[in-house]
Amino acid sequence: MKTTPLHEEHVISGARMMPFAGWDMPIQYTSVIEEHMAVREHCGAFDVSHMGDLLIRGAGARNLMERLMTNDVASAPVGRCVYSHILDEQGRIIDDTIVMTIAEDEFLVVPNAATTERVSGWIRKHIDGRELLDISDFVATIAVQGPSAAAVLERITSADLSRVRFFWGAFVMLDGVDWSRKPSGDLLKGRAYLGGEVRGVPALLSRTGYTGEDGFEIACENEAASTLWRALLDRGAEHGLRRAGLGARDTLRLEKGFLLSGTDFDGTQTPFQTGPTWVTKFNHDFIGREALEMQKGVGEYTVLVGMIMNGRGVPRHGYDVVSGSNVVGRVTSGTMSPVLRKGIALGYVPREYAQPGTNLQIRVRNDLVDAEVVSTPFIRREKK
Amino acid sequence: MSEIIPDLKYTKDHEYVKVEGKLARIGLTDHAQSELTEIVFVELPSVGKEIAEGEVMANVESVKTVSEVFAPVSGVVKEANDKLVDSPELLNTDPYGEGWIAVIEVSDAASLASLMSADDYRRLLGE
Repeated sequence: MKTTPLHEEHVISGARMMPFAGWDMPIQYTSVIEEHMAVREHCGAFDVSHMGDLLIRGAGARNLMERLMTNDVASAPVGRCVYSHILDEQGRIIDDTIVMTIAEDEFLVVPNAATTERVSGWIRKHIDGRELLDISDFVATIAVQGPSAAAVLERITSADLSRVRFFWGAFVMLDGVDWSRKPSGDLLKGRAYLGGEVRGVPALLSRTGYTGEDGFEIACENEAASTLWRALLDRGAEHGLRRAGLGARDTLRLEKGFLLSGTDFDGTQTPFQTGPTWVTKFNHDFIGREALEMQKGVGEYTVLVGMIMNGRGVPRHGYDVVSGSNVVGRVTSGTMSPVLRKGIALGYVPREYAQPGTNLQIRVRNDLVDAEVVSTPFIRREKK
Repeated sequence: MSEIIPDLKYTKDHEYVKVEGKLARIGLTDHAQSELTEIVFVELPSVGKEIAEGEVMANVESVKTVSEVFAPVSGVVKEANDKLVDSPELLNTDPYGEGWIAVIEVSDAASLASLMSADDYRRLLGE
């Protein structure tokens, strides 16, 4: 089983550890619900070092991104982060990922833990002279998520974070953390840092996440991870920051209707089925595009919808979705929403059942429980 | 270390049985609730239902998982703890008190004899 550089920190703090995609990861520290609510109301720190980190660079790297990504990564300016799907020739989703344009011809692709090898193999197959570096084993990533995330980050860096806007990123020197080792790896060495070349933890900061809240994902070198983690917990405490595990990460993403790779798509669905619609841009030529256009022509397919339980019961992966006396679909993700205190689910149904407001039922063991199709996210961020 | 009440009976599935004459009041042990983490949903047995030892009597769900609760004895369900419908967290906060799940009228008193003592249960947990 693989472990992240923060593994010992988790064990010492009494986390409940569980295998996830081949990694021994913290599922919860004290309580999924408390950690979930902390992220919604204040802030949470997640170890997401199990995610992959693939660096693609060299002349023509931009063209390669254009071919591999459904979203318009190729026209993204330096610093921009783009959520995209990667498809096979049949238009089926291999993985979803965030791609950051690091330099004119350099990109960081962050695949899911379970699919990193597959994605890296897929990129290598199409590499044609560009360079692919799998730096996953050298990079640790901490996600700081929640309404007070920016306030917490301000405690560990003097850099002007207002310059790192939503879905943008930058190399930032975390000069509020006592650290003096220079970066040695491909991701962080020799970069131009916001805040200059002073002491501190060198990091690639992106204002992205998987919780639907404001927040940052901080990539640093393995050696600096524990020091950074402790600094965040220490300075973050007065901003309500607490450790949050993969359990809360899953319920947080589900309340926002975000896809979970391997669960909400499993290699057989296209982006037309999963959505969101903006993830596929037909202004460029990408692998899988022809197959998608054919699917558009035929139009017979199931789509992923959000469902909320109106009756008592918690929907779970694999439960049947029922209309009248027919099983019409299947739940792919489900939980009790800590915010709504109701069962919520994502699942595939034929398009005629996909309209918000459609009444369906979900089979929970021996009972059929009333459910209703709703548009996601299940909860929206409060306007300030 | 979890709480174990001396004069209750226990099962290897981490349930306790409080024998009240012919009635068996059943719940989950402190160890069980701690392993399950926060309970967010409980499916109770119907009162009047005849149930056999080892059959699924109830389902308890945490945020992440569903767990079956097996009937530790055979008999008829006389009571189900309706409080758990709106307050499933009672299973966590007061497992041996307000967090009980159901009361079964035991059809065969001999089945009570196969249950574990508090000491046996403590040994099972290795505490």
